[in-house]
Amino acid sequence: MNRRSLLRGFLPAAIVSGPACLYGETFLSVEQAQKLLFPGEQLSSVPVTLTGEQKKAIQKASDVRVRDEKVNAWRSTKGGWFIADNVIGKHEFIDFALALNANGSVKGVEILTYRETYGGEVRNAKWRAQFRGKTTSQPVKIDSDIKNISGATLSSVHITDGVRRLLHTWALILNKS
Amino acid sequence: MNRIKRCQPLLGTFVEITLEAPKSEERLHNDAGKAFELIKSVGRMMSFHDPDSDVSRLNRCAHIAPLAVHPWTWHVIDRAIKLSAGTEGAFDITVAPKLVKWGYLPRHTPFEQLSEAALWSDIEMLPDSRICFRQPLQVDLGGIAKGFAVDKAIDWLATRGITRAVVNAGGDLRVHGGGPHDLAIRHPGSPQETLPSTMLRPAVATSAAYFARKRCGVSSVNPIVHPRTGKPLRSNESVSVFSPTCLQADALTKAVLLAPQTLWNALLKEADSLALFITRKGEQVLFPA
Repeated sequence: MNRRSLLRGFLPAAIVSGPACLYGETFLSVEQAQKLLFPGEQLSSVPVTLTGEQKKAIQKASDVRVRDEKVNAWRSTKGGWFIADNVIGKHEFIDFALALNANGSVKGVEILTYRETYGGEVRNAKWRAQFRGKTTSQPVKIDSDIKNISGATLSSVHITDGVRRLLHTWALILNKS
Repeated sequence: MNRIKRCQPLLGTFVEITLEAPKSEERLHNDAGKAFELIKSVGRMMSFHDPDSDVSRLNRCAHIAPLAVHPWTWHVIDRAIKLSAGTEGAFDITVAPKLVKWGYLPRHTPFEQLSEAALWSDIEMLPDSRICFRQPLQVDLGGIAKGFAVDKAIDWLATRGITRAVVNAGGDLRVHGGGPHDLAIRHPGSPQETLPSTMLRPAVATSAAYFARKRCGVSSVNPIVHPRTGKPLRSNESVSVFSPTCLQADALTKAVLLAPQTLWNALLKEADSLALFITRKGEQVLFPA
Protein backbone atom coordinates (compact mmCIF):
# COMPACT_ATOMS: atom_id res chain seq x y z
CA MET A 1 0.00 0.00 0.00
CA ASN A 2 1.51 3.37 -0.94
CA ARG A 3 1.28 6.53 1.10
CA ARG A 4 -1.40 8.14 -0.99
CA SER A 5 -3.78 5.22 -0.68
CA LEU A 6 -3.11 5.14 3.04
CA LEU A 7 -4.07 8.78 3.30
CA ARG A 8 -7.15 8.22 1.20
CA GLY A 9 -8.20 5.47 3.58
CA PHE A 10 -7.57 7.28 6.80
CA LEU A 11 -8.56 10.86 6.05
CA PRO A 12 -12.27 10.25 5.53
CA ALA A 13 -12.25 8.00 8.57
CA ALA A 14 -10.72 10.70 10.73
CA ILE A 15 -13.17 13.32 9.48
CA VAL A 16 -16.34 11.29 9.72
CA SER A 17 -15.64 9.40 12.89
CA GLY A 18 -14.29 11.90 15.39
CA PRO A 19 -14.66 10.20 18.74
CA ALA A 20 -17.31 7.75 17.55
CA CYS A 21 -16.80 4.75 15.32
CA LEU A 22 -18.03 4.20 11.83
CA TYR A 23 -20.09 1.14 12.29
CA GLY A 24 -21.38 -0.41 15.44
CA GLU A 25 -24.25 -2.45 16.61
CA THR A 26 -25.59 -3.77 19.87
CA PHE A 27 -27.14 -7.20 19.60
CA LEU A 28 -27.84 -8.10 23.21
CA SER A 29 -27.49 -6.55 26.63
CA VAL A 30 -25.70 -8.52 29.34
CA GLU A 31 -29.06 -9.35 30.97
CA GLN A 32 -30.55 -10.58 27.68
CA ALA A 33 -27.51 -12.75 27.01
CA GLN A 34 -27.74 -14.22 30.51
CA LYS A 35 -31.39 -15.13 29.99
CA LEU A 36 -30.63 -16.72 26.61
CA LEU A 37 -27.60 -18.69 27.73
CA PHE A 38 -28.98 -19.77 31.12
CA PRO A 39 -32.75 -19.97 30.64
CA GLY A 40 -34.62 -20.23 33.94
CA GLU A 41 -31.47 -20.16 36.04
CA GLN A 42 -30.47 -17.63 38.67
CA LEU A 43 -27.09 -15.97 38.22
CA SER A 44 -25.15 -14.30 40.98
CA SER A 45 -22.34 -11.87 40.29
CA VAL A 46 -18.85 -13.06 41.26
CA PRO A 47 -16.52 -10.20 40.39
CA VAL A 48 -12.88 -11.28 40.31
CA THR A 49 -9.76 -9.12 40.24
CA LEU A 50 -6.70 -10.93 38.98
CA THR A 51 -3.37 -10.47 40.70
CA GLY A 52 -0.25 -9.87 38.65
CA GLU A 53 0.81 -13.45 39.11
CA GLN A 54 -2.56 -14.80 38.02
CA LYS A 55 -2.46 -12.59 34.91
CA LYS A 56 0.93 -13.97 34.03
CA ALA A 57 -0.21 -17.55 34.58
CA ILE A 58 -3.24 -17.08 32.31
CA GLN A 59 -1.09 -15.36 29.71
CA LYS A 60 1.37 -18.24 29.76
CA ALA A 61 -1.30 -20.95 29.58
CA SER A 62 -3.42 -19.34 26.86
CA ASP A 63 -0.72 -17.50 24.88
CA VAL A 64 -3.05 -14.46 24.81
CA ARG A 65 -2.30 -11.14 26.46
CA VAL A 66 -4.48 -10.31 29.49
CA ARG A 67 -5.36 -6.61 29.22
CA ASP A 68 -7.83 -6.29 32.04
CA GLU A 69 -7.41 -7.58 35.59
CA LYS A 70 -11.16 -7.42 36.20
CA VAL A 71 -13.21 -10.50 35.27
CA ASN A 72 -16.95 -9.84 35.02
CA ALA A 73 -18.17 -13.26 36.02
CA TRP A 74 -21.49 -14.67 37.17
CA ARG A 75 -22.20 -18.09 38.61
CA SER A 76 -25.39 -20.00 37.89
CA THR A 77 -27.27 -22.05 40.45
CA LYS A 78 -26.22 -25.24 38.62
CA GLY A 79 -22.53 -24.35 38.71
CA GLY A 80 -22.19 -22.86 35.21
CA TRP A 81 -20.35 -19.63 34.55
CA PHE A 82 -21.21 -16.53 32.54
CA ILE A 83 -18.39 -14.11 31.66
CA ALA A 84 -18.80 -10.75 29.91
CA ASP A 85 -15.60 -9.67 28.24
CA ASN A 86 -14.23 -7.74 25.26
CA VAL A 87 -11.56 -8.19 22.62
CA ILE A 88 -9.62 -5.81 20.44
CA GLY A 89 -9.13 -7.01 16.90
CA LYS A 90 -7.30 -5.57 13.93
CA HIS A 91 -9.93 -2.88 13.51
CA GLU A 92 -12.79 -3.93 15.71
CA PHE A 93 -13.68 -3.69 19.38
CA ILE A 94 -16.12 -6.34 20.47
CA ASP A 95 -18.04 -7.07 23.66
CA PHE A 96 -18.97 -10.71 23.97
CA ALA A 97 -20.38 -13.14 26.49
CA LEU A 98 -19.14 -16.64 27.16
CA ALA A 99 -21.22 -19.26 28.94
CA LEU A 100 -19.53 -22.28 30.47
CA ASN A 101 -21.03 -25.49 31.76
CA ALA A 102 -20.12 -26.61 35.27
CA ASN A 103 -17.40 -28.88 33.80
CA GLY A 104 -15.78 -25.95 31.98
CA SER A 105 -16.97 -26.81 28.46
CA VAL A 106 -18.31 -23.99 26.28
CA LYS A 107 -22.09 -23.68 26.44
CA GLY A 108 -22.33 -20.72 24.08
CA VAL A 109 -20.79 -17.51 22.82
CA GLU A 110 -22.84 -14.43 21.96
CA ILE A 111 -21.60 -11.16 20.51
CA LEU A 112 -23.05 -8.32 22.60
CA THR A 113 -21.71 -5.24 20.82
CA TYR A 114 -19.67 -5.00 17.67
CA ARG A 115 -17.83 -1.82 16.70
CA GLU A 116 -15.68 -1.40 13.68
CA THR A 117 -13.27 1.37 12.98
CA TYR A 118 -10.05 2.13 11.15
CA GLY A 119 -7.09 4.30 11.85
CA GLY A 120 -6.11 3.04 15.26
CA GLU A 121 -8.98 4.20 17.48
CA VAL A 122 -9.48 0.62 18.56
CA ARG A 123 -6.11 0.59 20.32
CA ASN A 124 -6.78 3.90 22.04
CA ALA A 125 -7.83 3.36 25.65
CA LYS A 126 -9.71 6.67 25.84
CA TRP A 127 -11.72 5.84 22.76
CA ARG A 128 -12.72 2.49 24.25
CA ALA A 129 -13.52 4.02 27.63
CA GLN A 130 -16.50 5.90 26.18
CA PHE A 131 -18.25 2.57 25.66
CA ARG A 132 -17.60 1.19 29.14
CA GLY A 133 -20.77 0.04 30.82
CA LYS A 134 -22.88 1.10 27.89
CA THR A 135 -23.96 -2.36 26.87
CA THR A 136 -25.98 -2.75 30.02
CA SER A 137 -27.83 0.52 30.37
CA GLN A 138 -27.75 2.53 27.17
CA PRO A 139 -26.85 0.55 24.08
CA VAL A 140 -24.60 2.42 21.68
CA LYS A 141 -26.18 2.52 18.27
CA ILE A 142 -24.30 4.11 15.46
CA ASP A 143 -25.15 3.78 11.83
CA SER A 144 -27.78 1.24 12.72
CA ASP A 145 -29.72 1.97 9.54
CA ILE A 146 -27.18 -0.08 7.63
CA LYS A 147 -28.48 -3.58 8.09
CA ASN A 148 -26.82 -5.92 5.65
CA ILE A 149 -23.18 -5.48 4.83
CA SER A 150 -21.53 -7.63 2.21
CA GLY A 151 -17.78 -7.63 1.81
CA ALA A 152 -14.70 -9.75 2.07
CA THR A 153 -14.96 -12.09 5.04
CA LEU A 154 -13.85 -10.66 8.37
CA SER A 155 -12.01 -13.13 10.55
CA SER A 156 -13.29 -13.82 14.07
CA VAL A 157 -9.94 -15.15 15.25
CA HIS A 158 -9.72 -12.56 18.05
CA ILE A 159 -12.89 -13.92 19.58
CA THR A 160 -11.39 -17.41 19.47
CA ASP A 161 -8.32 -16.05 21.29
CA GLY A 162 -10.54 -14.27 23.83
CA VAL A 163 -12.49 -17.46 24.51
CA ARG A 164 -9.26 -19.41 24.98
CA ARG A 165 -8.04 -16.80 27.46
CA LEU A 166 -11.31 -17.06 29.43
CA LEU A 167 -11.22 -20.86 29.41
CA HIS A 168 -7.80 -20.69 31.05
CA THR A 169 -9.10 -18.03 33.45
CA TRP A 170 -11.82 -20.48 34.43
CA ALA A 171 -9.43 -23.41 34.81
CA LEU A 172 -6.85 -21.48 36.83
CA ILE A 173 -9.03 -19.17 38.94
CA LEU A 174 -12.83 -19.39 38.73
CA ASN A 175 -12.95 -23.17 39.05
CA LYS A 176 -10.93 -22.94 42.26
CA SER A 177 -12.92 -20.12 43.87
CA MET B 1 -44.34 -7.41 14.85
CA ASN B 2 -41.14 -8.12 16.76
CA ARG B 3 -37.60 -7.89 15.51
CA ILE B 4 -34.42 -9.44 16.89
CA LYS B 5 -30.82 -9.45 15.76
CA ARG B 6 -28.20 -11.86 17.06
CA CYS B 7 -24.56 -12.46 16.26
CA GLN B 8 -22.30 -15.43 17.01
CA PRO B 9 -18.70 -16.16 16.04
CA LEU B 10 -19.09 -19.19 13.75
CA LEU B 11 -17.34 -20.55 10.62
CA GLY B 12 -14.34 -18.38 11.44
CA THR B 13 -16.35 -15.19 11.01
CA PHE B 14 -19.30 -13.32 12.51
CA VAL B 15 -22.71 -14.75 11.67
CA GLU B 16 -25.63 -12.36 12.10
CA ILE B 17 -29.26 -13.42 12.08
CA THR B 18 -32.06 -10.86 11.85
CA LEU B 19 -35.65 -12.03 12.26
CA GLU B 20 -38.93 -10.19 12.02
CA ALA B 21 -42.26 -11.88 12.71
CA PRO B 22 -45.50 -11.51 14.64
CA LYS B 23 -44.14 -13.79 17.38
CA SER B 24 -42.85 -13.15 20.88
CA GLU B 25 -39.18 -12.17 21.13
CA GLU B 26 -38.56 -15.30 23.13
CA ARG B 27 -39.78 -17.54 20.30
CA LEU B 28 -37.77 -15.54 17.77
CA HIS B 29 -34.66 -16.05 19.89
CA ASN B 30 -35.45 -19.77 19.93
CA ASP B 31 -35.67 -19.86 16.13
CA ALA B 32 -32.43 -17.91 15.80
CA GLY B 33 -30.77 -20.30 18.26
CA LYS B 34 -31.78 -23.32 16.15
CA ALA B 35 -30.55 -21.61 12.98
CA PHE B 36 -27.18 -20.98 14.67
CA GLU B 37 -27.08 -24.67 15.62
CA LEU B 38 -27.55 -25.66 11.96
CA ILE B 39 -24.72 -23.35 10.91
CA LYS B 40 -22.55 -24.75 13.67
CA SER B 41 -23.16 -28.31 12.47
CA VAL B 42 -22.16 -27.34 8.91
CA GLY B 43 -19.00 -25.89 10.43
CA ARG B 44 -18.30 -29.09 12.34
CA MET B 45 -18.59 -31.15 9.14
CA MET B 46 -16.71 -28.91 6.76
CA SER B 47 -14.09 -27.10 8.81
CA PHE B 48 -10.48 -27.54 7.72
CA HIS B 49 -9.36 -26.44 11.19
CA ASP B 50 -11.28 -29.09 13.13
CA PRO B 51 -9.34 -32.40 12.99
CA ASP B 52 -12.58 -34.38 13.48
CA SER B 53 -14.55 -32.84 10.59
CA ASP B 54 -15.52 -34.75 7.45
CA VAL B 55 -13.09 -32.58 5.51
CA SER B 56 -10.17 -33.43 7.80
CA ARG B 57 -11.03 -37.13 7.69
CA LEU B 58 -11.08 -37.01 3.89
CA ASN B 59 -7.78 -35.16 3.80
CA ARG B 60 -6.21 -37.76 6.05
CA CYS B 61 -7.30 -40.95 4.37
CA ALA B 62 -9.59 -40.63 1.32
CA HIS B 63 -6.62 -41.40 -0.94
CA ILE B 64 -6.23 -44.77 0.78
CA ALA B 65 -9.81 -46.00 0.63
CA PRO B 66 -13.27 -44.54 -0.16
CA LEU B 67 -14.72 -42.76 2.85
CA ALA B 68 -18.37 -42.20 3.76
CA VAL B 69 -19.22 -38.63 4.75
CA HIS B 70 -22.38 -36.77 5.74
CA PRO B 71 -24.71 -36.23 2.71
CA TRP B 72 -24.33 -32.44 3.16
CA THR B 73 -20.55 -32.65 2.82
CA TRP B 74 -20.95 -34.91 -0.21
CA HIS B 75 -23.39 -32.43 -1.76
CA VAL B 76 -21.10 -29.42 -1.23
CA ILE B 77 -18.04 -31.21 -2.66
CA ASP B 78 -20.14 -32.40 -5.60
CA ARG B 79 -21.25 -28.84 -6.33
CA ALA B 80 -17.67 -27.61 -6.00
CA ILE B 81 -16.43 -30.17 -8.53
CA LYS B 82 -19.21 -29.30 -10.99
CA LEU B 83 -18.17 -25.66 -10.74
CA SER B 84 -14.54 -26.65 -11.26
CA ALA B 85 -15.57 -28.40 -14.47
CA GLY B 86 -17.57 -25.33 -15.55
CA THR B 87 -14.64 -22.98 -14.94
CA GLU B 88 -12.00 -25.33 -16.41
CA GLY B 89 -10.39 -25.55 -13.00
CA ALA B 90 -10.32 -21.86 -12.04
CA PHE B 91 -12.47 -22.72 -9.02
CA ASP B 92 -10.73 -25.57 -7.23
CA ILE B 93 -11.16 -26.80 -3.66
CA THR B 94 -7.78 -28.60 -3.77
CA VAL B 95 -5.67 -25.42 -3.41
CA ALA B 96 -5.51 -26.06 0.36
CA PRO B 97 -1.77 -26.99 0.46
CA LYS B 98 -0.90 -23.52 -0.84
CA LEU B 99 -3.07 -21.89 1.84
CA VAL B 100 -1.43 -24.07 4.49
CA LYS B 101 1.99 -22.95 3.26
CA TRP B 102 0.96 -19.29 3.47
CA GLY B 103 -0.39 -19.76 6.98
CA TYR B 104 -4.11 -19.27 6.24
CA LEU B 105 -4.94 -22.83 7.21
CA PRO B 106 -3.49 -24.94 10.02
CA ARG B 107 -1.02 -27.69 9.20
CA HIS B 108 -2.21 -31.17 10.14
CA THR B 109 0.29 -33.19 8.09
CA PRO B 110 4.03 -32.82 7.34
CA PHE B 111 4.84 -30.57 4.38
CA GLU B 112 6.27 -33.34 2.24
CA GLN B 113 2.95 -35.19 2.29
CA LEU B 114 1.08 -32.28 0.70
CA SER B 115 0.65 -32.89 -2.98
CA GLU B 116 0.40 -29.58 -4.82
CA ALA B 117 0.08 -31.33 -8.15
CA ALA B 118 -3.36 -32.76 -7.38
CA LEU B 119 -6.45 -31.30 -9.02
CA TRP B 120 -10.20 -31.24 -8.51
CA SER B 121 -10.45 -34.02 -11.13
CA ASP B 122 -8.63 -36.36 -8.72
CA ILE B 123 -11.70 -36.37 -6.49
CA GLU B 124 -14.05 -39.24 -7.22
CA MET B 125 -17.67 -38.96 -6.10
CA LEU B 126 -19.06 -42.41 -5.29
CA PRO B 127 -22.63 -43.48 -4.49
CA ASP B 128 -23.86 -43.74 -0.87
CA SER B 129 -22.16 -40.41 -0.08
CA ARG B 130 -18.70 -41.91 -0.30
CA ILE B 131 -15.70 -40.02 -1.63
CA CYS B 132 -12.31 -41.21 -2.83
CA PHE B 133 -9.16 -39.28 -3.83
CA ARG B 134 -7.04 -40.65 -6.71
CA GLN B 135 -3.89 -39.22 -5.11
CA PRO B 136 -3.08 -37.68 -1.74
CA LEU B 137 -4.61 -34.23 -1.77
CA GLN B 138 -6.26 -31.80 0.60
CA VAL B 139 -9.59 -30.08 0.09
CA ASP B 140 -10.73 -26.89 1.75
CA LEU B 141 -14.38 -25.86 1.47
CA GLY B 142 -13.74 -22.31 2.70
CA GLY B 143 -14.87 -20.90 -0.64
CA ILE B 144 -18.28 -22.55 -0.70
CA ALA B 145 -19.36 -23.95 2.70
CA LYS B 146 -20.32 -20.59 4.23
CA GLY B 147 -22.87 -20.10 1.46
CA PHE B 148 -24.23 -23.60 2.05
CA ALA B 149 -24.56 -22.95 5.78
CA VAL B 150 -26.49 -19.73 5.13
CA ASP B 151 -28.82 -21.62 2.77
CA LYS B 152 -29.47 -24.30 5.38
CA ALA B 153 -30.33 -21.67 8.00
CA ILE B 154 -32.63 -19.74 5.66
CA ASP B 155 -34.37 -22.91 4.40
CA TRP B 156 -35.16 -23.85 7.98
CA LEU B 157 -36.24 -20.33 9.01
CA ALA B 158 -38.56 -20.23 5.99
CA THR B 159 -40.59 -23.04 7.56
CA ARG B 160 -41.04 -21.11 10.82
CA GLY B 161 -43.59 -18.50 9.73
CA ILE B 162 -41.06 -15.68 9.73
CA THR B 163 -41.96 -12.51 7.85
CA ARG B 164 -38.42 -11.34 7.19
CA ALA B 165 -35.16 -13.12 7.82
CA VAL B 166 -31.58 -12.21 6.99
CA VAL B 167 -28.64 -14.54 7.62
CA ASN B 168 -25.27 -12.88 7.08
CA ALA B 169 -22.14 -15.02 7.48
CA GLY B 170 -19.41 -12.41 7.34
CA GLY B 171 -20.61 -10.89 4.09
CA ASP B 172 -22.22 -13.94 2.48
CA LEU B 173 -25.87 -13.31 3.06
CA ARG B 174 -29.32 -14.42 2.05
CA VAL B 175 -32.71 -12.89 2.75
CA HIS B 176 -36.12 -14.47 3.06
CA GLY B 177 -39.48 -12.75 2.75
CA GLY B 178 -40.64 -9.15 2.46
CA GLY B 179 -38.48 -6.93 0.29
CA PRO B 180 -37.02 -4.78 -1.05
CA HIS B 181 -33.90 -5.38 1.00
CA ASP B 182 -31.22 -2.74 1.17
CA LEU B 183 -27.64 -3.79 1.00
CA ALA B 184 -24.34 -2.09 1.73
CA ILE B 185 -21.21 -3.33 -0.02
CA ARG B 186 -17.78 -2.51 1.35
CA HIS B 187 -15.69 -0.12 -0.70
CA PRO B 188 -12.62 -2.13 -1.84
CA GLY B 189 -10.48 1.01 -1.73
CA SER B 190 -11.38 1.80 1.89
CA PRO B 191 -13.33 -1.10 3.40
CA GLN B 192 -14.62 0.95 6.36
CA GLU B 193 -16.90 2.76 3.93
CA THR B 194 -19.81 1.14 2.20
CA LEU B 195 -21.60 1.71 -1.07
CA PRO B 196 -25.39 1.45 -1.17
CA SER B 197 -26.91 -1.28 -3.29
CA THR B 198 -30.00 -3.47 -3.36
CA MET B 199 -30.52 -7.20 -3.28
CA LEU B 200 -30.91 -8.08 -6.96
CA ARG B 201 -31.41 -11.75 -6.00
CA PRO B 202 -32.17 -13.35 -2.60
CA ALA B 203 -28.50 -14.09 -1.93
CA VAL B 204 -25.25 -12.19 -2.31
CA ALA B 205 -21.59 -12.88 -1.58
CA THR B 206 -18.54 -10.70 -2.01
CA SER B 207 -14.94 -11.68 -2.54
CA ALA B 208 -11.92 -9.43 -2.38
CA ALA B 209 -8.48 -9.51 -0.87
CA TYR B 210 -8.59 -6.39 1.33
CA PHE B 211 -9.06 -8.00 4.76
CA ALA B 212 -6.85 -11.04 4.41
CA ARG B 213 -3.78 -9.75 2.61
CA LYS B 214 -0.52 -10.44 4.42
CA ARG B 215 3.17 -10.94 3.84
CA CYS B 216 4.74 -14.35 3.42
CA GLY B 217 8.50 -14.03 3.05
CA VAL B 218 9.13 -11.22 0.59
CA SER B 219 5.83 -11.45 -1.28
CA SER B 220 2.35 -10.23 -0.48
CA VAL B 221 -0.22 -13.05 -0.45
CA ASN B 222 -3.96 -13.44 0.07
CA PRO B 223 -6.21 -16.50 0.27
CA ILE B 224 -7.70 -16.09 -3.23
CA VAL B 225 -5.28 -18.21 -5.22
CA HIS B 226 -5.34 -19.20 -8.87
CA PRO B 227 -5.22 -23.02 -8.97
CA ARG B 228 -3.37 -23.16 -12.31
CA THR B 229 -0.60 -20.66 -11.59
CA GLY B 230 -0.55 -20.95 -7.79
CA LYS B 231 -0.34 -17.17 -7.59
CA PRO B 232 -2.47 -15.03 -5.28
CA LEU B 233 -5.01 -12.63 -6.75
CA ARG B 234 -3.34 -9.36 -7.68
CA SER B 235 -6.38 -7.20 -8.33
CA ASN B 236 -7.74 -4.75 -5.79
CA GLU B 237 -11.31 -4.88 -6.95
CA SER B 238 -14.15 -6.68 -5.28
CA VAL B 239 -16.77 -8.89 -6.87
CA SER B 240 -20.27 -9.37 -5.50
CA VAL B 241 -22.42 -12.09 -7.02
CA PHE B 242 -26.20 -12.04 -6.63
CA SER B 243 -27.78 -15.50 -6.92
CA PRO B 244 -30.93 -17.39 -5.96
CA THR B 245 -28.95 -19.33 -3.34
CA CYS B 246 -25.99 -18.34 -1.18
CA LEU B 247 -23.96 -21.43 -2.14
CA GLN B 248 -24.05 -20.32 -5.78
CA ALA B 249 -23.22 -16.72 -4.85
CA ASP B 250 -20.32 -17.72 -2.57
CA ALA B 251 -18.71 -20.07 -5.10
CA LEU B 252 -19.36 -17.91 -8.16
CA THR B 253 -17.48 -14.92 -6.68
CA LYS B 254 -14.26 -16.94 -6.86
CA ALA B 255 -15.09 -18.22 -10.35
CA VAL B 256 -15.69 -14.65 -11.56
CA LEU B 257 -12.45 -13.42 -9.99
CA LEU B 258 -10.30 -16.22 -11.42
CA ALA B 259 -11.89 -17.69 -14.58
CA PRO B 260 -11.90 -16.18 -18.07
CA GLN B 261 -14.91 -13.98 -18.74
CA THR B 262 -16.46 -16.15 -21.45
CA LEU B 263 -16.68 -19.02 -18.98
CA TRP B 264 -18.18 -17.12 -16.07
CA ASN B 265 -20.61 -15.28 -18.30
CA ALA B 266 -22.13 -18.61 -19.23
CA LEU B 267 -22.10 -19.74 -15.58
CA LEU B 268 -23.88 -16.59 -14.40
CA LYS B 269 -26.54 -17.07 -17.05
CA GLU B 270 -27.01 -20.70 -16.12
CA ALA B 271 -27.37 -19.87 -12.41
CA ASP B 272 -29.64 -16.83 -13.01
CA SER B 273 -27.00 -14.69 -11.31
CA LEU B 274 -25.48 -11.23 -11.64
CA ALA B 275 -21.94 -10.11 -10.89
CA LEU B 276 -21.16 -6.61 -9.62
CA PHE B 277 -17.55 -5.47 -9.92
CA ILE B 278 -16.42 -2.59 -7.74
CA THR B 279 -13.06 -1.04 -8.53
CA ARG B 280 -10.68 0.50 -6.05
CA LYS B 281 -12.08 3.90 -6.90
CA GLY B 282 -15.65 2.78 -6.25
CA GLU B 283 -16.80 2.48 -9.87
CA GLN B 284 -19.43 -0.21 -10.30
CA VAL B 285 -19.95 -2.47 -13.30
CA LEU B 286 -22.72 -5.04 -13.49
CA PHE B 287 -22.54 -8.26 -15.56
CA PRO B 288 -24.47 -9.25 -17.57
CA ALA B 289 -25.20 -5.59 -18.28
